[in-house]
Amino acid sequence: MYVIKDLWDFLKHRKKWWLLPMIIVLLFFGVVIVMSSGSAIAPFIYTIF
Amino acid sequence: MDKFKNIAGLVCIAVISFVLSLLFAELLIRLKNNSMTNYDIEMWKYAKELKIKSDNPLLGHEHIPSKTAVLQSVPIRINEQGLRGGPVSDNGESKRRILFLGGSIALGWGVSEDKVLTSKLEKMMGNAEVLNAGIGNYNAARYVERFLTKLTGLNPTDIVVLYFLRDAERLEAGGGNWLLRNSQLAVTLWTAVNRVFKATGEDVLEKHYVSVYDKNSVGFKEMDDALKRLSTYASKHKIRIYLAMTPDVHNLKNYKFSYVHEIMRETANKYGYTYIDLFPAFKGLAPEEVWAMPGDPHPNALGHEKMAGAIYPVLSSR
Repeated sequence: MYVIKDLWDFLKHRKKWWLLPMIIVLLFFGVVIVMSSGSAIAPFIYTIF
Repeated sequence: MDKFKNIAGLVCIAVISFVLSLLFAELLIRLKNNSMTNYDIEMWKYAKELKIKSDNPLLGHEHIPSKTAVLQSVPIRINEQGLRGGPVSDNGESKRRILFLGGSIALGWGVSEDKVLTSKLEKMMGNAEVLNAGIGNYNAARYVERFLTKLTGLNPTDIVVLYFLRDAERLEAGGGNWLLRNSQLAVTLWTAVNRVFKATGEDVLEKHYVSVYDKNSVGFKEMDDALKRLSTYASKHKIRIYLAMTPDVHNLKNYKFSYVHEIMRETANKYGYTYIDLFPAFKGLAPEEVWAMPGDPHPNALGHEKMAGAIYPVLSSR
């Protein structure tokens, strides 16, 4: 939580709002990578064919 | 006016920042996937590098002839006829030629060419040519259609259908959208969404196959019809036909799909196929012993050795 608060204060005081989309996207895809890793017991799925 | 300019500037910066971060994330994910250990991404590369949309809508896709790619750290070479392996010999008609039909298991996904069951059987048989027509994401309707429309010129003396449980599933034509065809980030997101929103687990797999093997389901009827068509052709051209039933290797100790093997035994008998059950060759093995890699439930080299060992006595006795 302290990291998030520090990050928010940094963006606010230095007015580096352009960094916000980058942070959100990278955090989001970090979560996505974790969720998509490993194996699920499920029927095969194919992205293209 | 200045306020409007400020807002427009901020929006512009936000959009540029967002696009740059997406490009950076794509780069990071490609670096991560360089290790070739992500099953979904390797399958995606397979579709991009070795498959092409088919002119026959029933097939959906086919192999690109004469192309090679390294997938899951294993080179997969496709010959002129779209089969895995080297060129087909010219003297095929003078000796026994055994053609394997199937999906990614028959192809030998994740297994080097010399260790795939077709290569092993060719060595074991000595005097026969064994050809591998396996293609990933093919069901029975597709591999029979492909044989009847594109591969009859190979003039096989024997056809082995390396049947897997999902070969009675209905398959969509596929093709994906531009984003899925070109971005590993999009594929990763797509996989994650599927993992989160689609139910998984052994129970789900069991229910899935119960619905697939409902004798009134469209997929089941298509599979049955395809095997019947192949049998009719084989009978007319005096080709010996076999159906080798491959088990699902998720849980071999407490195997839940014996009823499917029974259904397929009946189907094989009905249409004159010699039935070979491969489950006894796998029985009691732990998944990690036979999986191609963690997260990829295709049989590895040991699995292919077991399958070849079970099929060989039947082929050599004919």
